Amino acid sequence: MHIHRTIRDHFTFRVLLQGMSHPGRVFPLPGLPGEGSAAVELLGCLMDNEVGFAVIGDRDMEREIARHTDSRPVSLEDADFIIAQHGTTMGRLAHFRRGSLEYPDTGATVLYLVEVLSETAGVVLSGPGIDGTTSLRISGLDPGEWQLFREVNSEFPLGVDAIFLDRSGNIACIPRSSRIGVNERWDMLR
Amino acid sequence: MLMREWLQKEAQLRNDETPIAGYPFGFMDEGAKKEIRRSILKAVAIPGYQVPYGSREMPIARGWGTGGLQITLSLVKPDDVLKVIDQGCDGSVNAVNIKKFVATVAGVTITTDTRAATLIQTRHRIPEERMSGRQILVLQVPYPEALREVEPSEMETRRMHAEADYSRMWLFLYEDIVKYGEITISYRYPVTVNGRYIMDPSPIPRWDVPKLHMADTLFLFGAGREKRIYAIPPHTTVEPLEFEDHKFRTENFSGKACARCGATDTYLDEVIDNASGERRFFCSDSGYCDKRRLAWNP
Amino acid sequence: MGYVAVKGGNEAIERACLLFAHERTKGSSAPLGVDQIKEQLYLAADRVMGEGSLYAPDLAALAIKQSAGDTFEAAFMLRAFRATQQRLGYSLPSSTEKMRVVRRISSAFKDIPGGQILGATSDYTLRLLDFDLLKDDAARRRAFREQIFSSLPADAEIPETFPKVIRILRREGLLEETLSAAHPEERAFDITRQPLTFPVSRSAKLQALARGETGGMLALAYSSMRGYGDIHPTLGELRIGYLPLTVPHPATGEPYVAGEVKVTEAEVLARMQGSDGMPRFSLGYGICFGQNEIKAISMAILDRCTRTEKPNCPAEDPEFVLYHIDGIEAMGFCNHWKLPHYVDFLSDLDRLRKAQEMARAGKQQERRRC
Repeated sequence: MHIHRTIRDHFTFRVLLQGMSHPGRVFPLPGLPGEGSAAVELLGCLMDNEVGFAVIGDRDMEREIARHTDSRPVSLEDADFIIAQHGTTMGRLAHFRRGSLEYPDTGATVLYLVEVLSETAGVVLSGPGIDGTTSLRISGLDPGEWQLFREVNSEFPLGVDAIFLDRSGNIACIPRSSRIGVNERWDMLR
Repeated sequence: MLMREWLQKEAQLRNDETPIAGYPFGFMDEGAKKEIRRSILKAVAIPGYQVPYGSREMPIARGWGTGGLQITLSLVKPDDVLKVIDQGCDGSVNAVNIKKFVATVAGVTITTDTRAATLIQTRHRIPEERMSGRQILVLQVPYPEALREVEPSEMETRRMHAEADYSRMWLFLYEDIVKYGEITISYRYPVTVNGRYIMDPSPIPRWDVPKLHMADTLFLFGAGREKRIYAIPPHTTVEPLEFEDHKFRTENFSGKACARCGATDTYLDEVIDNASGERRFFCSDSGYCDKRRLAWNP
Repeated sequence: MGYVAVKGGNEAIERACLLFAHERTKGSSAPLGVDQIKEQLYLAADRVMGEGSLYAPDLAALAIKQSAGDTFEAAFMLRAFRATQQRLGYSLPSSTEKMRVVRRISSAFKDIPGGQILGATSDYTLRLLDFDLLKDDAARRRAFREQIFSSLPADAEIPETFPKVIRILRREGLLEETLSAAHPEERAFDITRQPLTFPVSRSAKLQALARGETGGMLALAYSSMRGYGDIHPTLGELRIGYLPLTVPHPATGEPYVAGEVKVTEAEVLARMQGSDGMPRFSLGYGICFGQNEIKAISMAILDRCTRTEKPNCPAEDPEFVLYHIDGIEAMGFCNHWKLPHYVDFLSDLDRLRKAQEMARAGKQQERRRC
């Protein structure tokens, strides 16, 4: 039903906004009955035919997103949204748009589909939206992504913003403004 | 209101006459909302930076809060509790109009109680009561560009922000001090956000500027006519521009109190009595003032 | 005790809206029909459609009625309505050579292929109030119609479409290349979806001008004509008529004419520019909904002005022009000064008092030193 989708988008976006303004904290998506996978429901509140996207993963996901959101599949370098279907960009994070100094907002957003998100010992984050520091553990994320992410976001305000979605429908966000530190559990991620 | 209840209500309305027939939930079309949502997320990721966006026309005029309204309509949920204030007052012209409109197109409950609200839209004031991490404050912005005072061209101010070349702003403040002995900027006092962008906090008085620093709540700024969205996430540094020997100062209300509730720690409106010509002061934050009066006279 | 009413704003606003509607309807005159406005005040409706950026003659007439003739308000209503409409698709580009012309003139040449077709215009009327119009009834109208049609010559052959004057100039290499060829764009910009960022693309600039407010644009164009600018314009061609609206058929995708849209188009020839080393005339282009010649000509002049290499005056500065000609934005902001600003003002008062204090202290010090 058309009206349900509209309202669902409002609920979904509020959780996403909560996530982006409180980096590293884990929030459950509303879990309202929908038409597609959680990833597609999440992207559906943001994407339409004005944006381009790319999937690092399989064709089915690309088709599903195109159909559900009306967005255009484009190259990785041109994409506004990149979906890393298996928790990795296969080292290609460096190719995503980071914006320009005049328009840093044109930097891309990457959605990582991962296994489990939890607010326990993992990477330590600090910066805007974070009261002191916070810890985020992500299983199902390629550990190589952390270094790439740090590099890609090393020249603020240029950078890429990340959203993580796990199998239970929880999300967490790390915008380019976050500082990613390490703690003694770093080795566990490797 | 629970979503279940809202859906039932919607089903009923579809059989009766809808007050604004044919308009979707949240009034704006989905494309407009999605663009605004994308802009909001980028604004949050780059604190203090002005994200340009398309900005649709609303049934209220440009200059009357269309930017704030578009943000509110893009993120409102039917179970939100909405407060709208103008110059701190719930009953003011602008606030009433906006409130009615949002309630009609989104089914939200309205409140005048800052603590009870989940979403607050405001023009030119921040509520006196500290807001929490579960709340969002949406501010209406007439002039999003802090540097417009020293540079009329948008291309040039964009370059200045890109290169963090703010020397002309500092010069402007210095010249103020030379001329008047003080920085004379009253509302729209420029601040540095997250140590990077100089930002215009909208025409809030100096009194409210410290509330932006390391707050618990998210602040979203919407300029509809100028087509810009910007944000200050919680726990973010927001520092008013000042010199070592000419520090930032808020307005001075010492010796004055609210004639309605007696508060000596709020921003006060000065009113000149018609008959006697006497000066009286009242809390600008009317909801807070009401609460205090009720507390004394339950 | 003088005490600011914190509540009661609600009621006052409702009453003000009712009073506004009442002002318009309280008289003894018959209610205006929307059809009357559409037919008899058609130029107002045309203007409102152009500035509201929505081709909808009935809605424009309704807006004029509802706003009691305030064209700023009426255009605003159309814009707001437009913003709520779902976008079904995009029309295909249409050449104005296909226009079903009702008026077409050129000042650059005495005569042009197809002829100077004056059409319906007030240009040559004497601006004398016609008091006969005070007694305007069906019988008089019928008599007037009979009178005009009885004295007409037999049906003359008038072509439906006419060649463009600028084609002649282009063919002879006297006019610069079309700007879209010089600056191709993959996709037309959409100013209702994306904010203007400078330097603007050609499609963005033309869209902003096409929906600009007539008076604002005239003022700026006038400043250029009077001498602040340097383009010395000549009207190459002005044409008014009906342009077919071609859309891809929803099922087959084939081009399909869904209707026609009345537009005014102006092409202004201006002083030389020669990007390829050869001096040629430059072109300013203007187009808008309905019959609104002042706007189309002003638009063409501003189009050309804002392409001046070194802007020398406001009309030549693209940022200045494009930011200030939108009627809805300008009137909204102008009106917003009527909103309460007492918190801001009090903040200002605080600063002023402080500054006066310091000035007094400074003066005292001065006196002590002497």
